[in-house]
Order: sequence, then C-alpha cells, then structure tokens
Amino acid sequence: MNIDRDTELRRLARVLHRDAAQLGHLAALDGAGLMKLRTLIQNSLLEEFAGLFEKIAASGKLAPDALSALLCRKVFGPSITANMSYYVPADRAARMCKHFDDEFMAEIAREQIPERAREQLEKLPVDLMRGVTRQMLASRDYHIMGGFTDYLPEDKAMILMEEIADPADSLRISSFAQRKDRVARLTAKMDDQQIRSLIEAAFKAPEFINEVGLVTAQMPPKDQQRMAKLSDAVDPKHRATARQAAEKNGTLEQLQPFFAA
Amino acid sequence: MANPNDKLAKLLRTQPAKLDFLSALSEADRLKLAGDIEQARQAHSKHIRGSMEEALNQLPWLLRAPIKKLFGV
Repeated sequence: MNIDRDTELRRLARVLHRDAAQLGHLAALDGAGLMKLRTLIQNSLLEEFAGLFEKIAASGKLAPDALSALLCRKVFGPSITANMSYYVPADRAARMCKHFDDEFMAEIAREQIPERAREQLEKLPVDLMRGVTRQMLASRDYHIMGGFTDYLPEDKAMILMEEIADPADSLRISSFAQRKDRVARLTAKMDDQQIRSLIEAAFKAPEFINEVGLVTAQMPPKDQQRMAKLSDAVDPKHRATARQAAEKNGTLEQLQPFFAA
Repeated sequence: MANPNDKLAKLLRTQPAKLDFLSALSEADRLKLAGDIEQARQAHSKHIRGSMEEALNQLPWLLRAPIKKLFGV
C-alpha cells in the first residue's frame, strides 16, 4: 500500500487532538512511520482499559441481544459501547446494532478504531449504515468516514456513496482515506456526470486538486484516460493545473496515462 | 545511558526495540512527541472514566459499589 504522508498526518493529528500544523516535530517520519505511530497510540489507549471493556462485554454474553442493546443505549453510552464492541463477536454486534438508532450508531462510530472494527463492518447490513453516513455528513466527520473507507467492503462503500450529495464532501472524506486505490476503484464506477461534478469541485480548492490527483494516480491507464477526457470537458486548462500539483506531490510518473491522453 | 525511546515505549505499552522507526526524530522531537501522547492519554482516560461514571449513575446507588468492584473501576 502506498501511504500518503499528508493523509496520515491529518489522521494522527486527530488522534492527538492537535492540528496537523502543530506536528512539525514529526517531519522526519514518512507516511508509513506516521501510520505505525498512530496505530501504536490508538492501541495503547485501548489497552489501558482493555480489562474493563472485556469484562463488560463478557458480562452481557448470555443476555438477549435486545437487552444488551438496551443497556448499551441507556446505561453504558456510546463511548463504552464502542470500546466494548471489539470484544463482542462481530455477528452479535451486528444484531445488537439493529436495536440502535442512527444517532447512537454514529456516536459509536466516532469512538471506534476502524482497523479494529473491520469484521463488524463486514457483518453490518448496509441499510443500517446509511443513516450513520447521513449523520456523519451532517456533523462533518470526514476524518472518521475516511478512516472507515479504508476498511469498509467496497460493495457497501459504493452503496453508501449514494448518500453523499456534495462532491466536495467525497473529496474531504477521501483526504482522510489512506487506501487511495480503493477510492480510485469507487470513483471509476461513477457515471460521467458524477465524475464531471467531482472534477469541478476539485478544481475549486488546491487541496482537492491534490486529492483528486492522488486518487487518479491509483487508476489503471484506461480509467486515467477517461478522467482526462472528462477533465477536458469541464475545462481544458485543468490539465496544466493538475500537472503542477502532480509535480509537487510526486505523482507525475504515475499520471502519465492521464497527461498523455 | 537510558534509551531515548524508553519513555515513549512506556507510554505506548511496547518494547523500545519496536520504536526503532522513531530514531529518525531528534531527542527533542521525541520528547515533544511523548508530551503529545501523554496529553492524548490523559484526555482519553478522563473521557472513559467520565463515561463510566455516567453509566454507573444510571444505576440504583446500592448497585454502584458492587458493580464498580466487579469491573475494577
């Protein structure tokens, strides 16, 4: 996996309750190093209370799903439920989620470590995720959505993308996703009009130009050529701007099919 | 001489040898990082303890002490 350093810095900054600009002392670490550091920090935070969460999860294992879910909503709250969820079998966690409302599930997701919730994401019915997606879009939790994008099964991600009306929101979420190859595959499945809207939104802000470039760089030549054609349809001048961004972020070579088209 | 990664290893609950990738950072930068992690840990700890306290407050007060003991809070 190609680790984008800026993406990882944004994610680490969130974990440390800092702005990315305040982490200048980590300038010597590359994307992989930052990712390793973030994972170590998240795991250490979880481990501090692991015994407690394990005990809570174990204490409810014989209770019916509806009763456990009720306890989560009325007694434990989202933070403890999220931390406890790693110790509950994924299929049971998915059944319990059927008893939660969208708001409660969104609050749980805000507290979860996506890497640890991978199995739950596989088991959870996508219809239950739609409401969570809407809640997170409304609260502008792009960093959380980006983190989950890395681990969400792609068929589910494709369905949930229908909930994102503003293409700028797609780019904001993508800027926190490390798996640009997955975002590239999802983007390639969009229709021409959707991609044109995405390109229009991208060229309105420099950070979005960079993001769409990183994603396009992960596409196979055929998809890059399609992106180039659609970019020209929006504005032929965009290619020159894209080239400048590619030179800056080191993706010029990967984007050869785009620029040669 | 103490390994400059010792403090970070303790904070991250890991072995200093597993933090070799942090050798790219100067000692001052590692100290600053340790401060960041410590602050994040304190914030997380406060958040979890607050959530647990809130959960216990939902229960009848007679049950709170035995449950606290049971879960080791």
